[in-house]
Amino acid sequence: MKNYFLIKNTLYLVILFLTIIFSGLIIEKSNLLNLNFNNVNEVFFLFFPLEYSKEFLYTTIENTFITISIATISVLISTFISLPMSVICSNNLSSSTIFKNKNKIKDLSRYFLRTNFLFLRSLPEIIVALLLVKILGLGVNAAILSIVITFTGFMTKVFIEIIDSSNTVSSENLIRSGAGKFKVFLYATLPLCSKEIISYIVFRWECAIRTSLILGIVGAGGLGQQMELAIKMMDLNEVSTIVFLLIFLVYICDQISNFIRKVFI
Amino acid sequence: MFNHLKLENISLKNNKKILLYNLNIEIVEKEKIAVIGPTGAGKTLFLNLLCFGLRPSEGKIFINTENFWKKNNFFQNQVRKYFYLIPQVPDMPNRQRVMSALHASYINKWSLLKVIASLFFPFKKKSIELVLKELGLFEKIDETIENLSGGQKQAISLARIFLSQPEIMILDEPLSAVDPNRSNFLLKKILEYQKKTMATIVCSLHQPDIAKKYFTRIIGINNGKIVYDGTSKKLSQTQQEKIYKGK
Repeated sequence: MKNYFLIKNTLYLVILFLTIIFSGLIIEKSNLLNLNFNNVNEVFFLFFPLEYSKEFLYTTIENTFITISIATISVLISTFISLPMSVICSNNLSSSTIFKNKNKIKDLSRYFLRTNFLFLRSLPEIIVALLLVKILGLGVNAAILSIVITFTGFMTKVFIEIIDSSNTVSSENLIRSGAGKFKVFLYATLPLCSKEIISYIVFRWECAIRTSLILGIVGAGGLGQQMELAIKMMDLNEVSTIVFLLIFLVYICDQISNFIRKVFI
Repeated sequence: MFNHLKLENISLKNNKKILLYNLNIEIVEKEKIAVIGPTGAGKTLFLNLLCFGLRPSEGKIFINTENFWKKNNFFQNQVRKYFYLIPQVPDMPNRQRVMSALHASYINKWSLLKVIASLFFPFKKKSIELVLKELGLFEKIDETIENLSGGQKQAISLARIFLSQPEIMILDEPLSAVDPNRSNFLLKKILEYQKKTMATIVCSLHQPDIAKKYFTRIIGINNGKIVYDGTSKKLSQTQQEKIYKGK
């Protein structure tokens, strides 16, 4: 046993040593040690003062609302798609697993349905949006669709996991007396795991706001697009205003989601 | 309509371990059956088999001369609506209110749209209030399940069977969490209800005296085998000891 620990520890040491050597090589290549900060002084002052003309503020606030509404609508749509899909795919609500009535066709079809959602969440949102901008053109539609496609995959996966890890006693009895999956979900499983489902939806909404900002850079509208344009035109005063607004927006979203959690959980 | 149920050479296995073997039983409508036996004898599994909650490893179950497990899904779901089983441990979700927990007993007869609507508009409020008044739990109607005591939970799950009006009531130790006074009261309610609707009743119990007094037929199970099956009057003291001792 003593030898085993000795070998293990020496192996860890060797790995640590190798990583240090390699990272040293990379640092030398990347020129990180002799960075040039001479330009910072000049560029930094371009960000100030903040831009606060009436027209600019009006368009930024409009874009903020667009960003929030993109996130909200896409999360709503993906919730409405993913909740029924997760009820269909979950093992806990299927009669063949509860009655130990082994039905290979049903099990296989459920398995394939589950794996199909892997395709939806395999690509990141920004790449889906890039493809959709080519198809649908610039605008809000591409952003909403790309968020819906990827988030449906994530949410279905997590909802299936939540339903499968919940207690089966209450749902089992209702299925045994001849009620369908969806009815049992509404009356037995949802009261059990509504906490987890609501908090996950709220968390996804926060994520969607950040994602819709990123998607703006691809050309899908909202605050992100305005910021990207401002950077390209070197209107750095506008950029700084938008950055402050973003921080404020994320803070407000955090407060709203905290409030929702307090009310429902 | 339910007429009679027949088990033929039923056995249940789990990983080569035999849990129940060679059950041959016939149940006719309007019977009052008590299932007795020591703990771990397989009473709960037997009741689960009766209401098609488990598929047996061997044997056939006939309902009205139809082989149940060979039929299609639609037929099976139609048959399942005749039955209602109350498990030993109350099965309602903790955060549900009593009102919606009792609404759950109707959902196998309603369409999906009506079930969704019933989440917002309680259709059956009046009949639920009536049943709760009979059980003396009327003031608990807006309480959540987690705030009830063990006995109250059991009474609520009994109320579910009264509301769903099945043709076969299957009760798995309905009196295990209540005091003797209350258990007499609940048992009387169950039998009163049985008289009113003429439903078949299969009830597993731990008190052979109560089983002898109130039920017409007794099934004794020990070690996964049926040891006694006959009228309650003919059950002698030696046979009763045999059920609880075994071997």
